[in-house]
Amino acid sequence: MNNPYEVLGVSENATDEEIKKAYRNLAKQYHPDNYVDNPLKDLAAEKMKAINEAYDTIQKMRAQGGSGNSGRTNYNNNQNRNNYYGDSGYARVRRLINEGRIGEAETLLMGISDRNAEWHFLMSLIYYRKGWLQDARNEINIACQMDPYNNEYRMFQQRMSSGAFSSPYAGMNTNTAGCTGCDVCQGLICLNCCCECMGGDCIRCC
Amino acid sequence: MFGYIRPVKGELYVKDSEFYSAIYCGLCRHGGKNISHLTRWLLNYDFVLLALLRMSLSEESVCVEKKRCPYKIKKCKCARADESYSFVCSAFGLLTYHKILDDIRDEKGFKRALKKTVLPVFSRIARKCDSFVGLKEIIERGMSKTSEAEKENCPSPDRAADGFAVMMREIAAYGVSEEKKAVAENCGYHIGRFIYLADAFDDLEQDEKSGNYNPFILHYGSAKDALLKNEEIKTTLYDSLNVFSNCYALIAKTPLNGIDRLIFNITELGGRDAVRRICERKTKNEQSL
Repeated sequence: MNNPYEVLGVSENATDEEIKKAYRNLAKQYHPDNYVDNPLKDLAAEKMKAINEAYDTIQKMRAQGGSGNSGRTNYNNNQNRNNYYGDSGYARVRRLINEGRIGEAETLLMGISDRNAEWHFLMSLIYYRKGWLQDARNEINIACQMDPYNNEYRMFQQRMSSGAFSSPYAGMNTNTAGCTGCDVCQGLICLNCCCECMGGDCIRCC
Repeated sequence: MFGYIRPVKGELYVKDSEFYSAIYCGLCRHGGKNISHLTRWLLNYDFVLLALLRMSLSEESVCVEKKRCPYKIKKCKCARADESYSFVCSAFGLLTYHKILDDIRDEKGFKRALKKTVLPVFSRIARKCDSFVGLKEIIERGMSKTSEAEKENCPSPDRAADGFAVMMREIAAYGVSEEKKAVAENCGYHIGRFIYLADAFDDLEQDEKSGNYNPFILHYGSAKDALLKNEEIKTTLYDSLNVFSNCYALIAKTPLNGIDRLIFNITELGGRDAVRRICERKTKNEQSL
């Protein structure tokens, strides 16, 4: 089992209040209601379960008082081992990707069974390097859903959607069409003209 | 072969628009003179983009002169860049020949018989295009990989497009200097991927009717489901264009020259326009049904 403090993203010295707050935020985020009709429904349910379990464990440990200490050291060991296998595996995958050894990186990554947000992010990088952009986009979307506050993932997701900055046509693509401040003003002026024609007045000052 | 990627002329400088026409004319002329007059009728916009890319990669000097065009009768501006043109024309000739071979293998009835009768003409074209060592093998390998994926009924658009895209990658990077090779490979790959997938997207209903292979139908279940998910398909096509223009930006000159502006126009605007055109036509068809 993972360190429950890590699951909730708080330090082991956190107060009860902080833990409660973290738990509430996470529960709000992964609540099943947010994932109706979403392909990630199962993933969210699993995450929710893990959060609930972690919160219960912490509550129990803190209620028992002294025994929490031994539990804590236990988790620490566990965490170190995880780091040793998990993180160093990812670090190696990253290094291989940077060196352009995509095939090796892919086999290594496929061998890791614990698939967290970073796994999906690295898989996305590998697909991107291979040019398989539909798979790359699916993976990065999963990574961003699993870890919405990670800047690295978000940046990569945005980079996939943007063309070259040095191009004279940068920003002209209308596929990300939105309502700019200028559009709002124009709309209001038109509305005002129409209202005045009909005898009313939408914007008093002009 | 397909001819989707062309510039949006309204957004070009007049001089660039004229330059693009000159490059098209030059390619058409070169093909007619050195390979066969038939290539003049079959030439399309995709190969003009490939020619532009090769010109930019090789930094060949391009001069524009006035030449009489037998089809337009009048004199028109015509670019000269022999090295790039002869390479692109060879690739074009070989690709067309292999496309016909593929069609003969897959099609039935009248069309097949017709293509069989014209095959000798194309094999003569292919023989004339044999001046680049290894190019023939690249194209043979690419076409056989593509048809392999189609036979296996590969349900992933990415994997299905891979064979064709890898072929275009090798064509684009053929003989390119070491420092520009990575850019050429990436740009080539994504031209190929875009062409293959845009074509598959365009042929959705037709393929469903005739029972031909189409990666989107297999991936989404049916042509109708694929059309419902058209945003996903559009995104993945745009993503290819983004990778292309991001990679190309690495070798673009500062300030940009005519070729750079044309390539950016094609990838940033023209390609998207083509996707939108395909999509709009489809949604119109949908409404009429």
